[in-house]
Amino acid sequence: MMKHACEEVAFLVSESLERKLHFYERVKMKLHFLMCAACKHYESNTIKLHQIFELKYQKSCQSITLPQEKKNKIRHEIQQLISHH
Amino acid sequence: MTIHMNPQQWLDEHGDMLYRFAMQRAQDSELAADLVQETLLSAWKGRASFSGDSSVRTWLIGILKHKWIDHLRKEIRRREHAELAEDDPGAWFDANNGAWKNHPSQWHDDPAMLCSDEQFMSILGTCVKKLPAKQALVFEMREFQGLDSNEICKACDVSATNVHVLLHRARLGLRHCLQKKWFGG
Repeated sequence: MMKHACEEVAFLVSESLERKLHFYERVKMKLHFLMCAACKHYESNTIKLHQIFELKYQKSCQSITLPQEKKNKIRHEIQQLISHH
Repeated sequence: MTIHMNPQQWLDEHGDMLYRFAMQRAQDSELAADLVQETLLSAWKGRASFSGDSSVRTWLIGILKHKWIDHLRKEIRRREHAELAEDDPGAWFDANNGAWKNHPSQWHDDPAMLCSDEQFMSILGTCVKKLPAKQALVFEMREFQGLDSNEICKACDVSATNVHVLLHRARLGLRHCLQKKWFGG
């Protein structure tokens, strides 16, 4: 196994979420997974983590609305600002 | 044009949408409402810059995004005081053979389930906050805001390579933190 292989593969795992990996990078990663369960798990964990954020981001809590008292406060601030102009 | 330039109307029409957008990122109702307020006030002050090419909604969202990034930048400065040493890149791997110091184990839980588990999400939030400031900032922009690397480079004045390295380190740190605090090991 080459030196610092896991460190390099962990970086490729992160990169795979940021860009399309080159063919040789994918091969390197997949080959490494065959002999290294820790890195395989790291890939799976990292993707899961990414999916959790994606889900949370997309769900976006549609029911949330700006509370009325906050709205009133903002309305007041806007009024203040406009009246100064 | 005057019809569109009414901040009270913006509040009525877009207030909830802006608030949701801010809540998604800030996860804090006080902060989110403050961001909405600052956005509307800035929008009115800068109303001359509204070209009318985009919708009011898009324009307001753009301003809110800037407000949020400003907030993160201030946060980073605040946190940097408390943090002298940026983490050691060698922390996760053995310096001699590059192997994992702490082997990642399999996480069996389903992302959709974890996502709706408040306890898990709160631990995840704590883990993100514990990351070194710059990593946390870049990671939040990427995963909370859904910005891509290019946008992050511009916002933070960091090179693309650096953004990728910071994201990589953030992911290593988060994995480690979650393993300790949630998945066990």
